[in-house]
Amino acid sequence: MTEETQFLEYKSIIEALLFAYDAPLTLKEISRILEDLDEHVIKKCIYELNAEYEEAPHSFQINDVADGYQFSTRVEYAKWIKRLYRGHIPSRLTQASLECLAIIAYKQPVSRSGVEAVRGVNVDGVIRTLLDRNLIRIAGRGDGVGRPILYATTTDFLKYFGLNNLTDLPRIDELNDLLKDRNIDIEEEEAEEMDHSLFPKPQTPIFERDETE
Amino acid sequence: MTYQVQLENFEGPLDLLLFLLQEHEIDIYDIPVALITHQYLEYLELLKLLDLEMGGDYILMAATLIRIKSKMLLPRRLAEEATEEIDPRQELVQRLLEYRRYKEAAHVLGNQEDQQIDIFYRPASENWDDITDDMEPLDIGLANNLNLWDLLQSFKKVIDRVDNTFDRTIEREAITVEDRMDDIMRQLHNRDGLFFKDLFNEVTRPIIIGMFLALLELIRTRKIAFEQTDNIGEIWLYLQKQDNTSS
Repeated sequence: MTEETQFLEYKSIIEALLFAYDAPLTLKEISRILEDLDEHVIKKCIYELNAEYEEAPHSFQINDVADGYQFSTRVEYAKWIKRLYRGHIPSRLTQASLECLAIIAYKQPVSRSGVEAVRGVNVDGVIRTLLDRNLIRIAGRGDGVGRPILYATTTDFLKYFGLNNLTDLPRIDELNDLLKDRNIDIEEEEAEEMDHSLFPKPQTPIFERDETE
Repeated sequence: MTYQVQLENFEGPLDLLLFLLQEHEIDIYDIPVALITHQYLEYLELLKLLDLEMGGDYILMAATLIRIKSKMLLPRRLAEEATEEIDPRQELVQRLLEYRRYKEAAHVLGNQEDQQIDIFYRPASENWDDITDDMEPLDIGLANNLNLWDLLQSFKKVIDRVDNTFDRTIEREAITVEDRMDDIMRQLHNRDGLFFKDLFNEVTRPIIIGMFLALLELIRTRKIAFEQTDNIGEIWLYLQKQDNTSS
């Protein structure tokens, strides 16, 4: 087999794998299946496949999401897919859910009372909704009184928000800049001072991936 | 009244406080506690007036504000002025700042949601995301350790499928569990068995519910039995052999 046909073969295999699978497939996993094929070659295959889909044009693409690759439809076709599912597409998250998720995403693993401490309101109902929608999961129990249940975000969380991993989110100290950009008054000097006292900058990425637990 | 803005949109006492601070262009690091407490309490009155559900969280914050206010009114002792004096507002300010940060993070997530809401992935087949290398190959054999929850889960799948075509008009249909029991027994008669979901070829909610109740009754009276092909597979129903003499 020439190098050229070999590459085309890889491309087809990867396409088949992604087509058959219904969750993000990691480079590592694809590489394992293809007997340790170089991950850069895999990336190139996926890049070319996407270029072909766009050229054709097809109504789908390979999305780079949740630390893996998965087929998705293009936004232009949302209208029709919604008709297909009718009322069965989950509704948008409420403000309460978004806030709760944000706190869990940044503080995970965190207990219910840890979330409540930030929001200042009871979050029982919201936590239940988020568990039901598989956006958070129970990550164990804390050491505190009553060994509280701890929550963490899921792979579905990353997928839902189109994130590759948690570090795609702005760092907690970058949020101040975003606030400033949106013209919400914040005094630079003091804000910075607060940063260091409240959220010391971590040496290592603040997040651990799901798998490491 | 200037307070008729999105009452229901407040996500709690901290959110309400942030709103009041912004509304009055108050510096978060130098909150005039007396003013803000007054405003806050006025708001609570309004919530009460509108009979909106107001959690104890709002009351707790009111108490906190009043406590801070009274602390600030107390004369400072000379000794304290010499050393670092702790501003009674400090804890509240930190909470407000922290909450505001996460509110912004929620805003970021909201934007991401906007971008992603129109992208569709293949629906995951029951939590397959966690497949790992060391996972056992699926056992295709029949498992007997099924319980009511497994059945209910299958039932939900059928109901979910029906919901797509759910007819909202209400018709009075005489569906008795007995009729459905007969129906199930008839379907299973002279067959090795059939899949749970294939029982439901008629797709109206009352029929499905009747079917399900009938099924439970038949299982209870041991006329039929069920098995599952694997952990997430279909449920297989078959006639229980009446080989004992009890009948």
